[in-house]
Amino acid sequence: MGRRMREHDWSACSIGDPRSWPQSLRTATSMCLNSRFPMLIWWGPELVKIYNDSYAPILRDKHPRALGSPGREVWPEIWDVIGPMLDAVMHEGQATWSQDQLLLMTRAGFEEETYFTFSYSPIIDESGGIGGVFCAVTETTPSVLGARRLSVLNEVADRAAHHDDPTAVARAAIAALEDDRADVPFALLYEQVDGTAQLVAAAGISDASRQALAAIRPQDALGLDAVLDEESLPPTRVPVPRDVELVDAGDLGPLAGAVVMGLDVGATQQPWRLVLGVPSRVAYDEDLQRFHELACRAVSAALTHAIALQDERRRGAALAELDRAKTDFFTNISHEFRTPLTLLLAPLEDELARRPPEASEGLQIAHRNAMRLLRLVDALLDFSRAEGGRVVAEPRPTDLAALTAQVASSFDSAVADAGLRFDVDLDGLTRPVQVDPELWERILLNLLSNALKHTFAGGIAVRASESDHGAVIAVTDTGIGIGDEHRDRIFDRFYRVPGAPSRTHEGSGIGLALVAELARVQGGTARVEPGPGGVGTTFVVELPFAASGEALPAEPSPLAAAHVEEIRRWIPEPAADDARPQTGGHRILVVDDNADMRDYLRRLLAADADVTTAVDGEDALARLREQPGRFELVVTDVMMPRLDGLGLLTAIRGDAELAGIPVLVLSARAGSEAAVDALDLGADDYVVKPFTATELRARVRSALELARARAVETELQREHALRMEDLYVREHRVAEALQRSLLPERLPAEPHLAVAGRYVAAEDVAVVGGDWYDAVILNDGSLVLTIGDVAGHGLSAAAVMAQLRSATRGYALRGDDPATMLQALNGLVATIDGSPMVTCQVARIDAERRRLEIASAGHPPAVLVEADGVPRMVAGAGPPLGVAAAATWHSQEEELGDDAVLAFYTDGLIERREESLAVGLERLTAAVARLRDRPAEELADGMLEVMRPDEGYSDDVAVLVTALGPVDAAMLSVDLPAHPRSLAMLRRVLRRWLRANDIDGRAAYDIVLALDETASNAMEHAYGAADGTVTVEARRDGPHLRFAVDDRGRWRAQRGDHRGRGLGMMRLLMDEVEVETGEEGTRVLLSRRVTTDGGDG
Amino acid sequence: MAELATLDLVAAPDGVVHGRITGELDAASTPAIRARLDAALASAAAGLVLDLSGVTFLDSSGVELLFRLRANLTMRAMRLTVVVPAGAPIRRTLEVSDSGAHLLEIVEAPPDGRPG
Repeated sequence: MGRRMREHDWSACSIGDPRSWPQSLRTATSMCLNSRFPMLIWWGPELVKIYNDSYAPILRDKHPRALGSPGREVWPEIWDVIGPMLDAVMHEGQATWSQDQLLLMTRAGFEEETYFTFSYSPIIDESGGIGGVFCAVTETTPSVLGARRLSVLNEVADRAAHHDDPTAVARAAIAALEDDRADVPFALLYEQVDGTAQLVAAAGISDASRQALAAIRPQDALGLDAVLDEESLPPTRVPVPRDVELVDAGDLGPLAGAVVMGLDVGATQQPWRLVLGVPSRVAYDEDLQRFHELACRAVSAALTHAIALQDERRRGAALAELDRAKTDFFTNISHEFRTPLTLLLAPLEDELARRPPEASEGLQIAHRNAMRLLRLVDALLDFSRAEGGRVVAEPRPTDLAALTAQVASSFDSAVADAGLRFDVDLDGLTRPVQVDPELWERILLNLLSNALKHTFAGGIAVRASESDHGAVIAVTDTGIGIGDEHRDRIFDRFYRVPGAPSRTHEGSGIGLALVAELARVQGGTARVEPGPGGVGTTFVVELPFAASGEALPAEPSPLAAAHVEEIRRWIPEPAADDARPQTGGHRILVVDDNADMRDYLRRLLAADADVTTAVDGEDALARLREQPGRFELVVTDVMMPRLDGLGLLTAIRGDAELAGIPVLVLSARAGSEAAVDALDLGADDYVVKPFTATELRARVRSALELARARAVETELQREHALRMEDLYVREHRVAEALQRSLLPERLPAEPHLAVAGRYVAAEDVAVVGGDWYDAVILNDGSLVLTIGDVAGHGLSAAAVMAQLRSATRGYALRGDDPATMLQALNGLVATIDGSPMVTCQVARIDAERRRLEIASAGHPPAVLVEADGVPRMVAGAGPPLGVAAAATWHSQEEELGDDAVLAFYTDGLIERREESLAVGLERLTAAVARLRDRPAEELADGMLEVMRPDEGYSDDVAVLVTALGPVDAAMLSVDLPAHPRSLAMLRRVLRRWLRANDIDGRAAYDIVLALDETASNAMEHAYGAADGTVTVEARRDGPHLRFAVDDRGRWRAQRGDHRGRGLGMMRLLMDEVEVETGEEGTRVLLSRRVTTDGGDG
Repeated sequence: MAELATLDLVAAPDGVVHGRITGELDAASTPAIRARLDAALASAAAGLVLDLSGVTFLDSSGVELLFRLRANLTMRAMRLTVVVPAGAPIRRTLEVSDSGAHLLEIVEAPPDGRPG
């Protein structure tokens, strides 16, 4: 600046050449120029401007013109503000201080909102008067705008929090943006509904504008087409939309345009779009762009939360409805059960009484279980009664002490077997009590069962006394006791003290609620108190005395016996889990405090795993430490007494011996904090309750595969330390083994439908991993094929891949079409740490109808070759997974001709250095066309062979081939596993074969039905035989179709209605049916004459 | 989970349960369908209308399911009506099944036009 000052032409300046300046100005100028803080001097009557280097950026375009120019000429636009301030300093010598002063400057070609903090102080000249003004200044525009924007973002969240309906939340959030019109001149929020975009909320525009913009359809030409975009949308600048008319615009100035952004409100929702006005008076710089994005995110978050809440409420309402229906159902069915049960019990008891005990073992079992059934039915009735509030009491004068003693006595032996004292003292009650004996019995049974359930040492006591108002019966135990915080709720329906140790978790949670209800309808009360000395619990029931009269006799019902029978089931405690037979599968530890959940999980996972259960975190930790290395997976609930799921997870990860065990957390609600915490603490996966069986199994499988991969990696690390020299070879082998272990061992195959898969690891160890393929045949006969490629390599890619493969199977079995599967996978990828990018292709083939549906997520196209030998590329276009949460995919449909061959592959197959993908693709399609007649296995090998670069594959390659047909019209032979499930495959194969013989319509139906019956019959015989296979053969013999069905069992045509019906049908459907029974098994021969036009011959 | 045959159930206010089966009814698919129908009928008062318009294949195990249902309902003084459109391929199965399909009450369309 010093140089610039020297070079400046001061001749035209009112303050003259610096050499002529007074000493005071020279001193001030030197101070100014030497400072690194922005400073300037206004000098003389014209307030000529002299400033330093640090000040220059504030001037923007006005620099260097401003140097030596009169102030009013430099800053005409703000002179009305600073002019008077400067005047005051010049004339009155009064120094000033202005903080965050708003100044509307035009310094970069547009009128701009700026803020400054500055001071003016007078400079005394040689005459003793004021020669000029010294100014130190900082621009505070960024911090002022930043604070303002932050406060708006907070406001969005705050105001949205006052509502819970999504629309109200959207309106409140958008209204909050009105606080900052300077940054958001207007805002429009759209939701896409059936191809149009509906305006949900708007801010800053007139009512007329709102009307004009209420719905955006394609071709509306309002300049808002971007809101109709179905793909995910990064912020997109657009011109000011037509019809936008601002209200209360004040000094906003004109609009500079608008920006359209996509909201992220969960993959399953309709896309939402936010349109924000771009102001002209604030620079559309990085800060403002980020603010707009943050505003969009704040609105998204508020909406996501509201929608999740709404879903939860809807679920709640649906559950309540279900609950009512269930109650009605229970009431009906219980009544219907009671009558036959009573009719069953009476003759059983007669018979038992007549026979000697040693000759009635079977009857005893029948009796015991009929009693149990009665008790269960009774529990159902209790449940529905309490639920419906329709207990009717018939109180009468009763000798309550005697009745109580009788009922209690039936518990004697059960209490003794449980190792407890049983102390019954009813002498304190002598007066008759006004009760319904049956209802009292229920009260007592429930209290005694409850006490026995929760008492592990000590004893149970029943005592009776009299108060001023009535009889007082107290059932006291020395059990676990009930904390103060639970005492108020213990009589609520379904309330269970969380984590209370118990002999069993069975029970409806209805017992104590029923006690209170039954006491109430008899004019009494029930309450709970701590036991004597604070140990255990006392339940007290008070019932009114009878007004007068003698006590009527009361006999206990069979209910007491049924109750005790029930209790016997959990005394002594059931055998420990470890006693269960070992199936040799994966060893899984299931941790849940809820017995029902534990049981459910055990049943769910038992098919391919040895399941051990633990009741809480501490129990689990003890089992894990007992035998480190025993368990391959821990599946744990979050909320548990003593040590919860997160505590358990922390303990496992902190224990060197256990740290490697994968942990899958079951969390209670979508988006709950616990799930996030669990992942932060090192959980491998979490499943949200309620979950489907398929989902849980898939997740468990993924977790186990991950564990296996992890074990391989640990192995790898150990080897690394031992032998460095051949590490490369080993690593490659291990990584490849890891990858292979995650691919399906066997692919499905049917006659006329072959599938072959290949995986080749890259030559370079660093890039192994991430490619996968899978194929599965659904029950409806369609074949679902998946191929994919996870970006990145090594263990992490393999882990993602394992998860995706399992999930894909789950979605396929659920019946999703390819596009829906990709949608769901995209949602899954978003939950994976780091959201890896994944390309993937899913195809569903209906071999019978010859239809292909295919959808692709950024994956290279599949090659299809039909009978004409001309290769075609098929691919549903769509973005890769993991790129955008709101992305959508579409399934492309194709008719498949006969003998269609489809080849899928990952990009490693066609990528080659110094060659474009198009060239590689061309070579591939030619190769597939040339090899199409080979069997699928050879075709897959051939593709790899032809495409292989000289130096070997530089990336992983996966290839998946499927070939439909060719169908040999002359003959057919198919082996079926002897299970009814294979009948569907038989019918498919037959229909295909019949079609090849031009047999259709009724003749085809008859033949398929006859063979279905024959095979079904044969399966019943062959089932259990060593071989367990039924073979069906078909052959064309001139105008005759001849079939043979072989099994290795014995044919029994006459046994039972059903069997006979089948044979009779076959004879009506076919011309000839012959059964040959031999040593080896049975062969059924069937034939039917046909004409080629599909009719009968 | 994709299944061979699926069952949709609606209980009408008049106490009649309307069931609609779609897919192929064979030895593999009948047990699950039967279990669901039995459960639904526990609370039915008036009868069952079973719409087989969407059934593309029916074998003797499916026919047996119908007979069992009929027996079960008759004992409780309820009625079974089976809907099979005219010309449906599965009419052939009922035609050839030897033990009197005439015992079943078969109509060509749902009695009150309800989808089932």
